[in-house]
Amino acid sequence: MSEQSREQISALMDGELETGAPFVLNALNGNQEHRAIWHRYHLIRESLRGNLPKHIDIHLADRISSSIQNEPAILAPARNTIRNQIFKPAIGFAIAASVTVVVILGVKQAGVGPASTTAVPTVVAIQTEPSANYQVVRVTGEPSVQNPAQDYRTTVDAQSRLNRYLVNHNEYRSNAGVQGMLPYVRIVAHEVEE
Amino acid sequence: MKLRNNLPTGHSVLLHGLIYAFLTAIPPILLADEVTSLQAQQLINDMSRASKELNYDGIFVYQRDGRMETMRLIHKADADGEHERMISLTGDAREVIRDGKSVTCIFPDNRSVMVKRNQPKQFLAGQLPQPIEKIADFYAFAVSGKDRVAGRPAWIVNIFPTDEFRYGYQLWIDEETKLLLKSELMDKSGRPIEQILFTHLEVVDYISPDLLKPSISGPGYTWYSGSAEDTPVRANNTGWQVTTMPRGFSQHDHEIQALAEGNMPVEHLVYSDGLAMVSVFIEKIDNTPDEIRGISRKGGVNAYATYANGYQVTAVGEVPQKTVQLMATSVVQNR
Repeated sequence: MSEQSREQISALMDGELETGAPFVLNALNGNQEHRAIWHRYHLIRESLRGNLPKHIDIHLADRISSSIQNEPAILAPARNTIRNQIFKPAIGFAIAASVTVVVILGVKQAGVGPASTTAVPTVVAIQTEPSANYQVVRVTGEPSVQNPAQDYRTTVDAQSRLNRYLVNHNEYRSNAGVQGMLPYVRIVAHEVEE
Repeated sequence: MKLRNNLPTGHSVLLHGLIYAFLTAIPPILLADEVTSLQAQQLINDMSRASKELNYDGIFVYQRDGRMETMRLIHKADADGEHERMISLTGDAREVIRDGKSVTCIFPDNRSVMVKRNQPKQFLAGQLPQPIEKIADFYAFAVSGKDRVAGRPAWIVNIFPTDEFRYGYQLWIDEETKLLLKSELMDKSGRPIEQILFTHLEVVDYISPDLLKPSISGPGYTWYSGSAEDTPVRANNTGWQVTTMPRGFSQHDHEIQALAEGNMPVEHLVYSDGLAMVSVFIEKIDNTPDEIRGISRKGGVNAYATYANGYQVTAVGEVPQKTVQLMATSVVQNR
């Protein structure tokens, strides 16, 4: 599974994929691995938001889709002959969405990087425990030893790149002699819902 | 009447035309413009200095794209330099805390923190800060009146762009402290793009260090932080340059840094006309040419990204779309 696919699934979740959405949905439909990622990202997101109940049925979606498969077909998705044309449209500075992506990839990389010397805690760690029909997802508050910078480097995300650029640009802006605006308002400001 | 009757009509018109031309061209009128222009430039210089040198704590409204948010700005200047904290008072309590060493961006919405470490900025041969006189060719200045903002008497100062490649400002500058009380960013036709408006501003002798601490504590947050090797280095001449830009823009700085993201270092070229500033970032990317292209916008900031020979080139600045597009698409590497 490519980094790009992960990104696109994440972007789709965040509502950032406008024109590319049908392609990603088709890819999701035809690919077990993509669906698993889609599933996991939702779990992670909901757990970060503290929305998860104590127990969740992770096989619900599978059961629903197998039921649907046994029903008479009503809608047939277009055959995906243009898989390679999946693209990401211009997306603007969506800080919240991009950092969500970073958090998720950071989790994915947990424990991979060398021991941290920068002494800031990385706290979000997600454990999954399989049991008969349920999977228990716990979000722990235990600091895990890893190098945040390493995790960050593994993310190649267009939006967070733009946000980084904006922070770097602002640093120059703030040091320039003449300015008519407070440059950092654009970082602190929330996204405008389109 | 009698005089006019004695003169041929043509002469009369010519005479009046000459008098009119003379009257409109005589020094007192030009002088008045010059005085207000110089006053405006002086006020803007004072404002820039005051915003860096004073201790203040204020609340302001930020408006763009039909949306309003309230923020608090705390600023302290001491022997260590500037310390600043900006917090959103509406929605999630996002914060940016910065000083000479680092910039920390806190996003409670997704429990994450970005930290960017800085090297002390040493600009090339004192090209920045730019004395305002140098930008006078590309903007016109005027003091257009007085007003009252946040309970304080203020001067209204206008900065008009002379072409469509730059934005203009209307600034409300506190008469007493010279701090910025209100600012509107607008395009060439005067259409507002974003504005800030202080509703409360206090200049104080002392800012408690507690006011500059982040409101969050470590647990529950994921921190993303650049490591020591991410500190920018002054770039050798790698040959990258913007070949087409609006008149008045020139290169001010050039550095290479790992932006704590991706494995590739990023080149950062800084261009300015003295007021507007455009950053051009050049980053080698692996086989994802479709990742992002075209225009992005946030408030008064436009960005244009393009892809050339394995590199993503992105221009970012408080300038109109056409300016970032022009500059990003003209980047070449001369070796």
